[in-house]
Amino acid sequence: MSVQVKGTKLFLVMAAVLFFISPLFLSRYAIYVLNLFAIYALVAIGLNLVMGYTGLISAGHAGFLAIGAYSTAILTSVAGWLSPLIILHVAGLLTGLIGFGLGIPILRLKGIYIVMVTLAFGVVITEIILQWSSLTHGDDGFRVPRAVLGGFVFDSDKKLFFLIQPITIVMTLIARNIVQTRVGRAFRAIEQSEIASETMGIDLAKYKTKAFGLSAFYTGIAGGLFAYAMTYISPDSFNMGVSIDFIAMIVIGGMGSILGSIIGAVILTGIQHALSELPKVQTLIFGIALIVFMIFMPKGISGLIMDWKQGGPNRKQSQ
Amino acid sequence: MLLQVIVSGIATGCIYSLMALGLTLIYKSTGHVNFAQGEMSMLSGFVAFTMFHILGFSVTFSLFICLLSSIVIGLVMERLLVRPAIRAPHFNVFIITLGASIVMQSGAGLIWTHDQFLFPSAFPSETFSLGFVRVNGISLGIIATTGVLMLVLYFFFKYSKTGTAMRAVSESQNAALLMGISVKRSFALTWAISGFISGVGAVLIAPVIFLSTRMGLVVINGFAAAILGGWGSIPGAVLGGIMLGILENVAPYYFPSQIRNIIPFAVLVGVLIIKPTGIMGEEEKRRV
Amino acid sequence: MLELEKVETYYGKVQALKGVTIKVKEESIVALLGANGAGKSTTLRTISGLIPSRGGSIQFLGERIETESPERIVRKGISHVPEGRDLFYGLTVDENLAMGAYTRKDRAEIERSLSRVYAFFPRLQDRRKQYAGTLSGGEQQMLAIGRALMSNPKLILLDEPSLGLAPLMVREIFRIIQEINREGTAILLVEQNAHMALQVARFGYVLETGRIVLQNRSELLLEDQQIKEKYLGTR
Repeated sequence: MSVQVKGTKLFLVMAAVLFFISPLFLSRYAIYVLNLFAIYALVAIGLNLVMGYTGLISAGHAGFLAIGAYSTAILTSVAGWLSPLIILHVAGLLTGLIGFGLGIPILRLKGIYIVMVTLAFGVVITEIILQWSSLTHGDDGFRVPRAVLGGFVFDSDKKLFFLIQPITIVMTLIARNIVQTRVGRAFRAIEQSEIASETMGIDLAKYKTKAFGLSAFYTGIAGGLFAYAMTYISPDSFNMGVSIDFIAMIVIGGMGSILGSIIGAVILTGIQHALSELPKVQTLIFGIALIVFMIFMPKGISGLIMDWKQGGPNRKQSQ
Repeated sequence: MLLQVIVSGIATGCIYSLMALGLTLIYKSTGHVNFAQGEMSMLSGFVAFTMFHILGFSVTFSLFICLLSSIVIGLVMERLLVRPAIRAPHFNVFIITLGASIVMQSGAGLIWTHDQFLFPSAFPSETFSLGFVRVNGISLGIIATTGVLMLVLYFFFKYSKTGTAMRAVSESQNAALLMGISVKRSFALTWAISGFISGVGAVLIAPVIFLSTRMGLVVINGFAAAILGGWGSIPGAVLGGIMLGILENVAPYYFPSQIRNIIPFAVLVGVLIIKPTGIMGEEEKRRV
Repeated sequence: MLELEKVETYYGKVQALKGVTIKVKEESIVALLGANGAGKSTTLRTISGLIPSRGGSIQFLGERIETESPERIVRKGISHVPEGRDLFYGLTVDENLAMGAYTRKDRAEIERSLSRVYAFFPRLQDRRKQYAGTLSGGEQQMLAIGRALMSNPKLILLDEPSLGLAPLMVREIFRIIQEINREGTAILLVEQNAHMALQVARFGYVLETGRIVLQNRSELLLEDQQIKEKYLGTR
């Protein structure tokens, strides 16, 4: 048993090392895609903190991504000497605060209302970006200056890899911790039964707002990284379809699962880039995937993995 | 002048009312939220387009097939997508209809492209004078058709045995079963009627805003209308739609014209802040 | 007329009925007694097909019905007045009654059933156009029974008709139950009010955690020491 654990650990360490030296031999495009995987994994984790752990549907997470991206872009252009870590923190906190604020009126509402408010939120955010052109350059889009950390300029995908990946890994671990602690259990209880968790003495409203704020924080940070990685952002990068892609990520990957969020983000981003020549087919596939997964595998791919894992030892016992 | 804008606002509002009505019927009877209501409309519009533009049938016959196909689309949605998930939470069904709307929109794009097409109106486009107001024939047709459809639906649900049974199902599925009412059939019928309403919507709206795969987005105005009127209330859906239509048409006279696009969202947020139960909405009854 | 033979029913993995055997003879009233959660309502729900049985058989007028849908069972002549009445509260009294006759086609016969129900419950006739939700508790119970009568049943399954009603109203309801029975309809009566139930019933069964533990003629059950202690509240 302990040998097995040691083996697994060794494997993980090797995989990590391999991952971090991979930019040395991967193509620029591959590195760029890896960066996007990480960014969308952050978004999916953020969205899952709301949808997977509290059962509230958010159809406006592209709005949070936009806030994170634009605040990072604007901050970097007016105060480029600031460390990107500080800028990202500010962007994340600002987004988180807005998410928290949005959470307050939402918590007394139910199902369909939440979908519609979040949807409206997403649209209103892009509309604000479009109209507030003195700050955001509106329809023309925003050219994002390079991030500079102590004289080191992140001016290539390879360099950005070492900004984006560590942040994603740290934030994933933090999310895993949150989910496994009391708060996480409370989130899950909300999802299972509102009445039951009320009788358990969980202050639903408080947790829902926290979940929304935290989710927005994650998405805001992802938005900042997105701005750095894309170097150019425009309101169109954050339309309603993007929010729905995010929902598809966690439905396919697995609701209420960190691993599922990553899997979903990787698969959907992968499909998007593999079929970048055929955007029409792409959305068709996403739509079909949403239907098929919800009917046949509502727990997503991570649910399948869990079933398979739990099935393993059982099969041994029966032998 | 303002009066004229209000009349055309009512015409726009009728479309939203139809959308909201389709959503509300399905919600009341099955508890499900159908995000694909607008795409159902769009799809039957394209069926009619194919009939007269590509296959060369007469417009009247094509519009008739459009309505027929909208019923079929509703039935297929229920049978293929919603019934397999009948024991799943409403959340799952919502995601399924969301998926369906994406599939319909991108599928239609693959078949008919995402261009805009002219769609013939069933009504004359000349202008009539009604007292002080001059009204476009198309607007008048929209208002009249919607009115007639609402009346027919009202009498169907109020006085027919099947309609009463459908209301009974929405009150208590358990008791309905004990009366010998088939709940499954009632659900299917609800989707068929909602489909039909979406088909009427297609016939009315496509001539005004052109036929395109983006037409399905009108579902968002439908949601806004239903929530404005009070989610789950049928008179609320109708009233909410008309009010939203008027607002959309009047607002550009007082604010910058871009405001029109965000009116439904502004209305949504406004209602939720001021009175989440909407105009005609009741407090949510506890469902056992 | 109705025969349950070793009927077993499950809620998920929990077994609610563990082999229940009950007989209801033509034109009789049979009482099914027991504490909360003993399985009384479950028995009725199993008979009317709302819950599938997973063992045993149910015969009605010589036909096996344990695999039939509730829809078919109503048509065969069993009407179920469910626990908590379960009316269509947003429908009027008239509409509720019309739904009771949903399976029937002949308008003249439906009309006759309607006047029969209004003869039993004149108070309902005064409130024909009112919504069921606006009725008093007693009136709602009357409507629930009336609705069940509208399918012209041969057997009525009656679940807790006295629940939440004032003593005077309970008396009234039970008087009408007996009257309905006298006109030829058999009744399987589930009651917490054992005393009342045994006074109108000919035969009684006692259910405990999904099993029949006692059965006898009503007058003998009324004298039974065990019953007296457990269900009649006499020492």
